[in-house]
Amino acid sequence: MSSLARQNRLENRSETALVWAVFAAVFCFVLYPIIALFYHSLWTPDGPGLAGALKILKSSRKLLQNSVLNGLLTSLISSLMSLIVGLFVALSSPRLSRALKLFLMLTMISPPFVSSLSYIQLFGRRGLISYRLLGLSLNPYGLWGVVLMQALSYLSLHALLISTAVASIDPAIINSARDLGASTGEIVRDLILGQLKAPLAIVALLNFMKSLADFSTPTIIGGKFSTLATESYLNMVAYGDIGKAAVLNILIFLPSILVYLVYRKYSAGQSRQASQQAPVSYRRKGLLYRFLAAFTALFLGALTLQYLALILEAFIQRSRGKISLTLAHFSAASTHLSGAMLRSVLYSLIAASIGAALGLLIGYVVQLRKSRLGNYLDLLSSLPYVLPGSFFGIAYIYAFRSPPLKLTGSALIVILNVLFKQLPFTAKVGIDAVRAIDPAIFNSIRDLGGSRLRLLSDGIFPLAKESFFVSFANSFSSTMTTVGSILFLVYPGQKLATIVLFDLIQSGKYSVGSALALWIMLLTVAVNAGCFLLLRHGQKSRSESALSRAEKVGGINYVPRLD
Amino acid sequence: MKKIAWLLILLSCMSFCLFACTNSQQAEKNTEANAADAALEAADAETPAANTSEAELPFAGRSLNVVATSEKYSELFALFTAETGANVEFLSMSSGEVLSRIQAEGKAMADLWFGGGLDAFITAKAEGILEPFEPQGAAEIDPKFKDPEGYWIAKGITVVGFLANNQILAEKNLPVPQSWAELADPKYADEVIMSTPAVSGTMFAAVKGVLDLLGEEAGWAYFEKLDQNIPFYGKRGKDPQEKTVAGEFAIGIIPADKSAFDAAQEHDLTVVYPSDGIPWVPEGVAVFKDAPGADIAKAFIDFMLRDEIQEELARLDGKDGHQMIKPGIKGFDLGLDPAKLIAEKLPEFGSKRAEILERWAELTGEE
Repeated sequence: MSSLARQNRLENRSETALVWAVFAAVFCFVLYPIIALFYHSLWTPDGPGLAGALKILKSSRKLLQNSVLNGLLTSLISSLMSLIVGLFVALSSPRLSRALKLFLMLTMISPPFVSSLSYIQLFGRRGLISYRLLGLSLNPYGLWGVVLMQALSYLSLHALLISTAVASIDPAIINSARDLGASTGEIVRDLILGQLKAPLAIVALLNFMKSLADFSTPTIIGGKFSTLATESYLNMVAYGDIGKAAVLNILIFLPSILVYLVYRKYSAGQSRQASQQAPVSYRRKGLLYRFLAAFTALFLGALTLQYLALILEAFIQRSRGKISLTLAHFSAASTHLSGAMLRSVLYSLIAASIGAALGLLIGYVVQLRKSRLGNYLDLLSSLPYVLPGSFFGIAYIYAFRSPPLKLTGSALIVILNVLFKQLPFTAKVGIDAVRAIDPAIFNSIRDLGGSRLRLLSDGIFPLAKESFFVSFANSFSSTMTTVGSILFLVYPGQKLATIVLFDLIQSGKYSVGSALALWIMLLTVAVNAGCFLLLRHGQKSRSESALSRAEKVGGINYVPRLD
Repeated sequence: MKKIAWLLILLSCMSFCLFACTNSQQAEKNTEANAADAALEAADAETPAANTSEAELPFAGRSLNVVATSEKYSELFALFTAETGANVEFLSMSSGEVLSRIQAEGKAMADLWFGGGLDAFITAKAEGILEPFEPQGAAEIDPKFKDPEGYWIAKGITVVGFLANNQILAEKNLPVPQSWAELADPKYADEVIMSTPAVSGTMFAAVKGVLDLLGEEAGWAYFEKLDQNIPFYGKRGKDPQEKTVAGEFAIGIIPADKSAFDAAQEHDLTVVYPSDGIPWVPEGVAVFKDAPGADIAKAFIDFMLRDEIQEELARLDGKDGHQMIKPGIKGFDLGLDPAKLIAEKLPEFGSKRAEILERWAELTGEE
């Protein structure tokens, strides 16, 4: 008995140590870098200091206006587009709906930069569609080009989010309305839209924050139009002024965190789960349905064009006006890679698996060790969401450039950066996973004399396998396609596939870049598919549809990631 | 769903094989090269003074970390590796980024800095992050291609030219502009593209070169006029060339090298060296201060200055012989007339950079 008690005490102690380790990790790798960035750019001679920052602030008023305007427009338009497509996906026949969801899931994975470039090819002053097909010579450069491209690239994920939200509405309500003779239009207007307020708020928020942080789209198609993010990026890579880059990043951070905190206060405690009920069958006719169908076709058509342009570019060789098929771009891409792809996969695997486990641990701390600290942990772990990628990169340089935590130049800093950049997502999945476990299981573990450590090892980890894979697959995808935060952390000999892609695009090698982008996408999709198969294999008996599991792997049932 | 998942996995496996294939072909080439080396070594081993393999490969087992402007130098680095045994790791990075990161991290992220506009090297020298070095044969190099105190040396020069899209110009019934003066003619309104001089050493050279050509005040007046023809300034160095090739603009201001001439041939474009003066800028090479591989970096600079390596460099960079720093190096014949190069005040590339960029921003009203 006493040996059991001793073991219990030991286990409880290690659990306490584990909980403190989680706090320490989140503090060290999320909060501390943020503090370091503020401290070094505002209070020390390293940066412009407070007075300098105020000067930058004053001279950047126009940029701030541009950024906010861009963010609001993108948010409005993209949310509207997501609503239309999401509704259509939810209302359409099961077969079509499945196909559309698969399409959206595939187009969720998109390596950076490539889409803006195909936009110019298609809609530029001498673009394939605008000029050669329609004979127009439009000026695609400027605010509206940026807004449209951003809206389109955020569409897939957010449309899936909306369609899942529609599917989670209690079918009994909709069925009874339908039986009482309500048309599909009336059901959407009177029942569904009201239920979509919360998910639409999430979508709008995400659009706003993503748009604010996006430096690449305005760099490529902004023309004269500049934003805080592009200016911050230029200060980093062109003017050699990291202090100003940091201050501009703080300027992006402030409106984002403000909007986020308001949102958090407003939506406290809300959490959705996709319903497991049989799907509702809608009458697929009427003005509204046709309207949705037409616009969905338009938006998804535009998205298809983008990807087609990418695929064509990767396989086509132009020489003196002649066009031929080739695989040369792929072999050229592989010579550029020199181990970078392998490194990308390896880093992504490490970051994704540790991140997924950390997410579950955070879920445990927040849900089962209810304390005020748990709340802070939740807030802290969602912070990287609000941070622009380059903010998080520069913050890591400032935080980890000198002992005792000197990490710059190591592979570890890159892995830690991508791991904690994804923390908002993994933590959210972890918290939801622990919440979904029947409390009776935890009670019985405790009643049987198990230590608190046993709650983790015998309760959470075995029961939350699915969530683990969800986190894993999503973090993997994000890490494979991310570039913003690691661009400034990578050293010679540590190139990652996206960094190589970035260089290829910057030096104008689009064909090779497209080939590499395709390859990154294919690998990422394959790992997602692998996770999906593993889940399916593990849970044949569950009643869930295959697709809803795939959706989980794609992370759609949860608040999605922010690159 | 399951079938699709399997299909995707299969596809990606296939693509993996494809890549592995191309990689293994290279590996084979490499092993062939290694085999040749081994044979050589074996031959050496039979001679009495055999055990000098360490002297042959002085840097075996060590790494040279390089920040370079482009990925295209991997062949050059491979030659260095074959000769010295040093494993070369490189990362391409803009000069601005090199400066930013050193500023933030307090030390250089590499041993050797290979390529990039002179302005950044002058700034870096002033900030004390470079190590002076006198390479072998430095005496025969023209002083304008090296720092008087040895903090940097040029690997060649970039010259600025125009790229004109013949088709678009024909559509608009316009001739190909031959000079800076002609380029600012209002008839080219909205058809000229260049990048912000901050993002590209070439564009900065264009601005500084024209200022030196016309004199400060006339120079700024010129850019005010030219600005009327330029709807916006690219934020990426490659923008002008790409957008001219794509027909988005009729004329781009570009680095005139072999790749521009190749693109011109392929897409029906014309490369023009401006007849009233060609702006140019040395591309720097330097050793970082206190770098662990400083000795390898110095050996690399000696290596780079050898005639046969200079010729290889000219080939990789697509340079005319007149763009190389040593006389008599064979490069491509791109028709560059060295007499047309503007007499530039090189030290001002560093000392006046901030001032020029500021005035530029005011003039062009970039927001």
